[in-house]
Amino acid sequence: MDWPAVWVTLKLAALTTLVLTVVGLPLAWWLATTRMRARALVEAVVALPLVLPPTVLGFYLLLAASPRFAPGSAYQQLTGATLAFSFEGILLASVICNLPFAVRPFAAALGSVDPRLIEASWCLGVSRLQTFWRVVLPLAWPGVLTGLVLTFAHTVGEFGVVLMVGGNIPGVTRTLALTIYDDVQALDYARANRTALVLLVFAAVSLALTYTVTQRRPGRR
Amino acid sequence: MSDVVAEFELSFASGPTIEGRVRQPSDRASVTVLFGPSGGGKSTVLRTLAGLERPQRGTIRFGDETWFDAATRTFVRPQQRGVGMLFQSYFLFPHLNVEQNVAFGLSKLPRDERARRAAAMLERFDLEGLAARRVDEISGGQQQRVALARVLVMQPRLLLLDEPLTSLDQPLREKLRGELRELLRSLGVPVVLVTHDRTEAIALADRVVVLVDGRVRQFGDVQQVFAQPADEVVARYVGVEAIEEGRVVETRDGLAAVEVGSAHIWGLAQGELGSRVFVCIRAEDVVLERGATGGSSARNHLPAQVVSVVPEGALVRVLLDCGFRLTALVTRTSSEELRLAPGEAITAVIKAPAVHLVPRG
Amino acid sequence: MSAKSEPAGNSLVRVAAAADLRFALEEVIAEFKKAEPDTKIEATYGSSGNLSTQLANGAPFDIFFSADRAYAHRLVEQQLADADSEFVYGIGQIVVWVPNSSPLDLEKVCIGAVVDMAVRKVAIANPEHAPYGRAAEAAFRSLGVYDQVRDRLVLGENVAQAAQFVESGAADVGVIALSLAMAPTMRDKGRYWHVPLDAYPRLEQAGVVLKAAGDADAARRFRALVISPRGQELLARYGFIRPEK
Repeated sequence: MDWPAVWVTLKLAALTTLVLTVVGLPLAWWLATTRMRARALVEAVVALPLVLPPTVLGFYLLLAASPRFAPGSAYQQLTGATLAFSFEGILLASVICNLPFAVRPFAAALGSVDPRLIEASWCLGVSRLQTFWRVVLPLAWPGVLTGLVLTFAHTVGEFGVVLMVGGNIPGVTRTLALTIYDDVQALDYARANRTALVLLVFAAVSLALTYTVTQRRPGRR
Repeated sequence: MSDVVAEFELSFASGPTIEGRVRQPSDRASVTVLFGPSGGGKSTVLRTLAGLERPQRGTIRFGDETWFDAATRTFVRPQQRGVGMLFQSYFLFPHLNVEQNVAFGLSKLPRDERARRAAAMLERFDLEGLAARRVDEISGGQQQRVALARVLVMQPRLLLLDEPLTSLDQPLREKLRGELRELLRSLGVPVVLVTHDRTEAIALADRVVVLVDGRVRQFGDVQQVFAQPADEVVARYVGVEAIEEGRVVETRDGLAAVEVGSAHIWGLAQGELGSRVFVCIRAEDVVLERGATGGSSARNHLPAQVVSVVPEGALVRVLLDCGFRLTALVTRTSSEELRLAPGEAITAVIKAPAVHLVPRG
Repeated sequence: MSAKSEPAGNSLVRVAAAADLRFALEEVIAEFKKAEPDTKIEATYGSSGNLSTQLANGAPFDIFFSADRAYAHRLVEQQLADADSEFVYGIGQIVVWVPNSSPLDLEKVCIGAVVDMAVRKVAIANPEHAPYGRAAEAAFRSLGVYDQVRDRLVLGENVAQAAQFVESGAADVGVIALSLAMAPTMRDKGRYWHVPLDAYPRLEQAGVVLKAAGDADAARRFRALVISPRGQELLARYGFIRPEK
């Protein structure tokens, strides 16, 4: 087992999930409650990574991250390091690729809370933010949890974009999925198989646990 | 005591426009009922008063506070209005128990104060034993009490009730109607209540606003509105049971004789000779008699034939044919004494002032 | 200047190497570790074209071993490496490889193996960015079999992946690097035929030390080992021909 790769993979999945929770929950809340017409457009943009081939995403992200273009060079000026082929680079790529895996379940869960419950809370003098914490989240947590687990598991399996943007640098951007690829090329099938089995079991267990936990509640609405 | 003065217009993207006009006098706490058919916009008006909808035009003032003014783009959020809103389906928080529901709005208070107030409210509404129960484990009537407790514990300055009794079974509804009246009286807070049930409106209202298809058709004291509907649309909804079309054929001394079907009926003059009117007669105002008596102040004695006799609790609803269809509501005792049965001949006696003439169209 | 310099005593050399070196370079790395046990060496293998593009986009490697001169030289042109750091470390060769189970008699049919009727797929590295793929293509043309073989070609992302295709049986024949054919994992699994050296342009394999290298001294020491007699001896075991300087 390539332990540096395990560490990179876990770090990437955890941070991606964290970033997408902080960024994705407010976005999902807006999507679930707004009546603005721009909503359809935003939904389409959020869903884009689902339908685009990873190479398209990887290509544009690699360009953007390269010091030859604006975002990459700005990053380099700020931090002195390149965005491409760095952990921060694949983190950014991973956040973008996983946006739909987080935001869509979040929005569905948050949207399933009856708006009248929210209004009842407002009329009792509770602010919008407090209402979110005390009414919406407690009722929507199964969907939110599903989004978190899907994001985490999907990141663990992310391959194409990470390879293109990350460059497969050992200990930095080489994730477990990439080590399988390497091992196959090195004809080390045994090692590839061990890693693949671990990933398979991890994915199966995390999904099974999530669905069990989220189904124990009686259905909402 | 603050009064509510609201005059606004709210348009929905899908088309309909709802006009709200509510005026609540400030000398005493009173109950204003928004009355009208379902879908007429009553709930929308209530929600707008609560701050859950934002109108396009108009103003909403509470005392000397302006809650909404389209001209100055003022809008006060529901959290700031101190309004207690009771939704038709209560919308108790399903993930909290009864006590937590009641205490929900008190979160800004210190814990012991919160507990004390919640406990007091639970006691007042007879809910102490249910404090730890989840809301899906209690009955409809209990849920209503929890909803009321939750709202009243906040000591609102204005109470808004959306069809408070509609989701209850009939017998329970009748029982609670009286209790609700007592409760609203005792609160000392202005109340705006929405209902489409005529009996409820009559039972609970001091003032009535009739809202049909988004327009305010009439408003005033409850007896005034129900006894003298402004037009036939209102008449239909306030439940004047006989509404027949007729033509004024004679006018004399402030009275008008109207030809309705094959009958002649006298009511208070309305409209010129030859004009078409609706004749509105409430079933309660029709007296049934056998045979002629020696003189009567009632102008109208119509020979009629009983078409059907339908019991309604302690009363009996009698459908008559007197040249036009007329409904009378009499006590069961009277019905038995008069031996009312389909086919019997009877006289319908109606005072002219009880014959309400509404100009056509 | 570099972004990540390693603190003294914790040297790190990050190597980007052409895929054909996958096994050969590991031996040199092991040798280097004997002399400098405290220096870490991390190697990433890929096609020379891909790696040089990544380097042009700021990939953090210290030393680059290309499978040809052009990609290495390009980095000098792009000011990413000093001209005097450029070095040739060996001449590579291509072979036609079949697994043991193949009925083909390579000594007899030679290049004809790739156009044999029973052969459906021929694996080579992608000529777009792998020098070994370009060499294979050039050999096909000069030996007159290109038109017949082009429909059967299966392109590996780099020459090691091409080798994996034919080793696993996904392809029937592969034209791959000699250094891979001679590797322990491949050696006993098949047999091969040397493609004549005059059938394709010389695979002069060159490398450069990057300007952005973290520990440039350590990188240069590694380079020194590769071109030293001992390093060359190790490379010769994988069929690399010594460059004449």
